[in-house]
Amino acid sequence: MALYPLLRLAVRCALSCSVSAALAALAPNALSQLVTPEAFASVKTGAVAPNFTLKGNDGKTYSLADFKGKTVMLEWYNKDCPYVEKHYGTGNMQKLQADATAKGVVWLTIISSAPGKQGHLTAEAATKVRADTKTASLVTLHDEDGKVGKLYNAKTTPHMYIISAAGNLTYQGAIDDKPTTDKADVTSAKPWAVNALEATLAGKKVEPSSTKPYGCSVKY
Amino acid sequence: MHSTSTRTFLESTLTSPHSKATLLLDAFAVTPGSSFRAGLQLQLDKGWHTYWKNPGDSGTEVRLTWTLPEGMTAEPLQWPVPERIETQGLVSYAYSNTVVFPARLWVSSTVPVNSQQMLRARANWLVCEEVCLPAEASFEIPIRIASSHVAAPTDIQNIFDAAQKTLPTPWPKGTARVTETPDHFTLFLADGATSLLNFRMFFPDPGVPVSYALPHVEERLNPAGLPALSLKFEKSTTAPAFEPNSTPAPLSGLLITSQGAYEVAPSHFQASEQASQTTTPLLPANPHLTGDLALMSAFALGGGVLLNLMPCVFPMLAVKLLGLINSTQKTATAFRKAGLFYTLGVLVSMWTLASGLLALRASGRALGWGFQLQSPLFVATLALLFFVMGFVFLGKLTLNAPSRLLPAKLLSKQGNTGEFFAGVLSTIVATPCSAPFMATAIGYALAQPLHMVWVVFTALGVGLALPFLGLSWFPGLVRVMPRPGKWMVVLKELLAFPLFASAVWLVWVFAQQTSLESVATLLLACVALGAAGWVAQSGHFSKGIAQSVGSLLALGALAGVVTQVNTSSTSPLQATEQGSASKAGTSASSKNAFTWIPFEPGLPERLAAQGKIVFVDYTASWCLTCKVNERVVFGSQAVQNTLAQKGNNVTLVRADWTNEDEAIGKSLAQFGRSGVPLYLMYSPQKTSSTEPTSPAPAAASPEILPQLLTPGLFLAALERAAASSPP
Repeated sequence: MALYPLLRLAVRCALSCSVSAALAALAPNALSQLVTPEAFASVKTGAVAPNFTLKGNDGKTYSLADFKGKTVMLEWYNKDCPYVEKHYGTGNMQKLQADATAKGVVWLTIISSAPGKQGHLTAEAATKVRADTKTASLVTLHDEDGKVGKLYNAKTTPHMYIISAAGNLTYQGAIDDKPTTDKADVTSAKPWAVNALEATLAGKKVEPSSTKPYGCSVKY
Repeated sequence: MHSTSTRTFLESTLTSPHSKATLLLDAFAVTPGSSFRAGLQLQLDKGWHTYWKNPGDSGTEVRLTWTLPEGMTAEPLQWPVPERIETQGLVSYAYSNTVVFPARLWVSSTVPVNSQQMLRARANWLVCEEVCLPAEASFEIPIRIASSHVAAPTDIQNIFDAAQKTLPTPWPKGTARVTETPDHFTLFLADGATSLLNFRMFFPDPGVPVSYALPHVEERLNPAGLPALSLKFEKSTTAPAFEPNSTPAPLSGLLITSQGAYEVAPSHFQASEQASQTTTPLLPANPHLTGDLALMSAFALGGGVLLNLMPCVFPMLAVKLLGLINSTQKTATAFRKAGLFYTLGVLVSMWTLASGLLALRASGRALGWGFQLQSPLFVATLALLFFVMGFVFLGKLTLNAPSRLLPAKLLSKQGNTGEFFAGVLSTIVATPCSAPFMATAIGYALAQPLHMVWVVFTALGVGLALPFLGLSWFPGLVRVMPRPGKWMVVLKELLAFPLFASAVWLVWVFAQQTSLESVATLLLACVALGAAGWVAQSGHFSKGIAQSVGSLLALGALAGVVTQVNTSSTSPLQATEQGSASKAGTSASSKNAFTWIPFEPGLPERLAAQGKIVFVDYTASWCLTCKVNERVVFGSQAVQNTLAQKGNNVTLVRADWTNEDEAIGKSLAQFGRSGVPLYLMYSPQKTSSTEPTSPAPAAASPEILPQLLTPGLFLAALERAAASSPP
């Protein structure tokens, strides 16, 4: 490490060093400003719920528009997710589905898992799973390309959306207030989705109308 | 998913599929009325993650629930800085590989001594790859309550120390403000120091109603010329409906910049009225960085001039002045040209140093002025340089003899090139000495956009070159100086000794940075260089042999030092009594009998919260001003008496920056400094009570003491700190 050549090099580097220092200082800044465009649309609570058309496990085609005039519950589903299992294994979800259907609510179970990813089911498999778990919703809809999930900004399984008879979104978010996989928490949790459903049916104000959903990520 | 446990005395390890949980304690035995640390260590399989306190769009945070015996309490888990992972538009704030969550546990004085207490805890976490698996583990660990503290073995202490480094730091000088529009929240962040340079990431706390997509970032300067940030977030679906005249809730979270990871807490948000999105926030006045570019440049200029008086530079300057006096035959133009080339040499070296420093800082390392001295290789080279220069001054190596001996060759170059390299040399030898104004000016400069940095460093260079430049510009001044005579030779030879002393001091610094073997190698290199000089210039040998053998010896010496430094371990010398003096323990270099505690981030605040007055000394072996201050202040009888009197109420903390230390570098940046020395006096924050059960220390804002510290200033600050403690 001889001093003289180093100094000579330093002189020559002085200019290039300042340029590189400028670049080095700016680079991380530039990168951080690269804003990822939102991959999701987002439906605001209170806005009109966007229409969609999906195939059901029974082979028929269903559209949201078909149910105009009825209150609709959307439930995002992944049979292997421990958070979903918490509600199905305890029979909680099935009970809620039955109770709601009895009140005239249309309950749609939606699977947005891409083929090959966890939770994906073919129509035949879904029919079998429904029978095995005694699912009491109207139908299981297959959203294999994830379009509807992304349209509603569905992030987790379970993720609940309530659409009023007039077609507005009155609730979106978690099923209850205990974001755990512990089955014992089902009975002690505040049932936000159920409360929101009852308020929607009664035409009352829904509070809270938007909560942070919990669960496994949707496997788009 | 419960698992079987394998238990050792301090750790309790439980294994789940894809992750392994261990509960660690940092002590075997603790005394009543003290605290110790527990740590939850999660080791995850490759590709699997677990979650931060805000898990993101999905997942659940790690949880630890304690069942503790009577008299023991636990602080909440501390969260290391997570990573942001985005898949298919869904964001997670997660950890991978191994992560340790520390937690402090407190033992009240009522817990009986000589007892064994059983600590029970249950950990719940979620480990995910493609799929997610919830995991749970239960722990049972005993701890002894004894009359003296028995720490855990070093390997466990190392785990805790490493974990400490992964935690974010408090943000003492920060302020934050939120403005709201129907669809967005904008977070304005400002700081009196440089923490906001180069924004990297913001992790919102749980419950903060923003979308986890990356915010739109703008880096700006506030009216005082300091960095400020604005982050514009989309609102999340859970955000409450927009009300134009209401104050939005604080957006607390974790801010990551190139300077570190900072906790932006609700306390940083001032109550403010709704303002338009375009206003720049006003900063609280920071007396140490009120930046007028002109003022800072003046400081830099003054600092540069003062550098000439430091023992490092003075001999060089004296020789140049002597050279001026001697050559009265030269024309005024030649004189002025010489002065200009010298100044150019100084300026180019300053710019190179500045760009090197900026480049390193932009790459994320917390460096400051004096960074070059944190490299043992640079210190060694400088020591060799001073050694050789001493012989040049003694006349044993003649300046005008053409030889391959490097520094001699530089200085022997006639005319303007010689002056240029003299300027470069002056800058190099000036770096070990930190003149009082320089730290403030440079700390300010490094936080500014590039063009301002060049201005301040240029002012510094001009200041350094000014005495010589001034004299060369006005040859009339030279006539005022004493006439040439024998006294000049005597003076020049005399000045060799301050240079040798500087070389010795540099070897001392080198010794603290490396090992005894390296010091021996360096000293041998000095011998080799001396031999090289003798061979080259004694006249006993033919020119050919003289030059080649001389250069060989010189190169061999340098090569030896380089190899030795690169292969030696960093600090076995510090394990010895002399070495450890500079890091912790008693200061052996003086007769002081004080105990210095080594610095850790957050330590002064915690000690202040316990009712102590804390003095923090940021220093380094290579910083002359620091060493002089320490000697003067702590060697004074008055200070020794007062500290003895105050006893345990005063704690002395030393932050030794001799080698690169990221934590200390960041801590300095928080106070607007990029170099040492820095002296802080923390006032006690709460009434002293015998029950240290209250966990979180209040954010203490310390008093910053002047860089030229005297016993009087130190004692006055001590009195102020003592007087300001709450009743």
